[in-house]
Amino acid sequence: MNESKSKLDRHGISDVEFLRYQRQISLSEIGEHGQEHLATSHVLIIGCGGLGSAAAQFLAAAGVGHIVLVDDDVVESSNLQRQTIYRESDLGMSKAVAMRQQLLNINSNINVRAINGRLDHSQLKLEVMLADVVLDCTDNIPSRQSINKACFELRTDLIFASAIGWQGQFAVFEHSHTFVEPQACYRCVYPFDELPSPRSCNEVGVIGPVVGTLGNYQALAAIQKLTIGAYSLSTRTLHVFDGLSLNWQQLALLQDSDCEVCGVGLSDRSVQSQLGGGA
Amino acid sequence: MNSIQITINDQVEHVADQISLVHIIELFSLPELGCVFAINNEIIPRSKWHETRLNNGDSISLFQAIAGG
Repeated sequence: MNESKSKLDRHGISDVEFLRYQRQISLSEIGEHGQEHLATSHVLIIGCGGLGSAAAQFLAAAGVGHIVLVDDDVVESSNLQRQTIYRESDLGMSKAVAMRQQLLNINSNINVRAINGRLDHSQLKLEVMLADVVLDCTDNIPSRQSINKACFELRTDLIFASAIGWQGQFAVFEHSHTFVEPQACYRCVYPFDELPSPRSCNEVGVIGPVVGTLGNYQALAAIQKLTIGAYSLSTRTLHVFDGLSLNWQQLALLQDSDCEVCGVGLSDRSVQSQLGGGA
Repeated sequence: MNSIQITINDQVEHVADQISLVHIIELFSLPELGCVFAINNEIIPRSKWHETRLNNGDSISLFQAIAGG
């Protein structure tokens, strides 16, 4: 697989690749140029549950050249209802390892690295540093806060989604871009380190197509950025989905000047942490 | 003080003019932890809850943060 990848780097799109990806290459926003960008892109997907299942298979199929998967769980039978990347034969296997194999079955021309474990802060920063975009597909607030902090400090775009029951939430935090007005980070919107009531899929339940829809939104945002070079969707918006009415509500995001990650007066500390490597 | 009409998750309520968001949360015993508040589809950062005042016709949306994935 490395061979065909490097061939693509040197010579652009081969005939075989053109045929394979023609349905997206034919879109005026993408073209061969966009396809080449996808092939040299590096996406970090943290969490191999329902969101990761949906997002990863579309990114692999689209031809994203480097995908890194992180999860410390194993595949359980209760996952199969919504985490559709897995097969019954994957039960008991590491999710990251099983997902890697399924992605390579979809597209053997890409590189997929599986990390079967949790990243500490320095490992997380290293992985974020290597990535063009990060997909937060985790299922808990502490992980989400750590990922946001690392993405803010390393100026790497964070494509966030979450889902539970019939509800989903989605936003892109465009940390790679410097705006005239300060932009909200994940913590500006969700300034919590825990949630009061049981809000995990294990305890409350979740509908497969709801979490799949949100994961697909993450893949769509990543493909926009990696092919067009910018998001066509609004990155200053929290998108809230209701899987019963099928309504999307769009809420404007404002930066919290007191935010402990991105608030004013903290920027010096962030820069120091970035330079010093932190952790 | 004049009364104004607002909505909280589409339910009509009458409150004092220029009441703050923090007072609304107290008055209606709304959940705070894990909740996101928006006024007229704009999310109000937590540190602005005290200084944000409600006007006639304002629409408050309140929803739970979710972490599942």
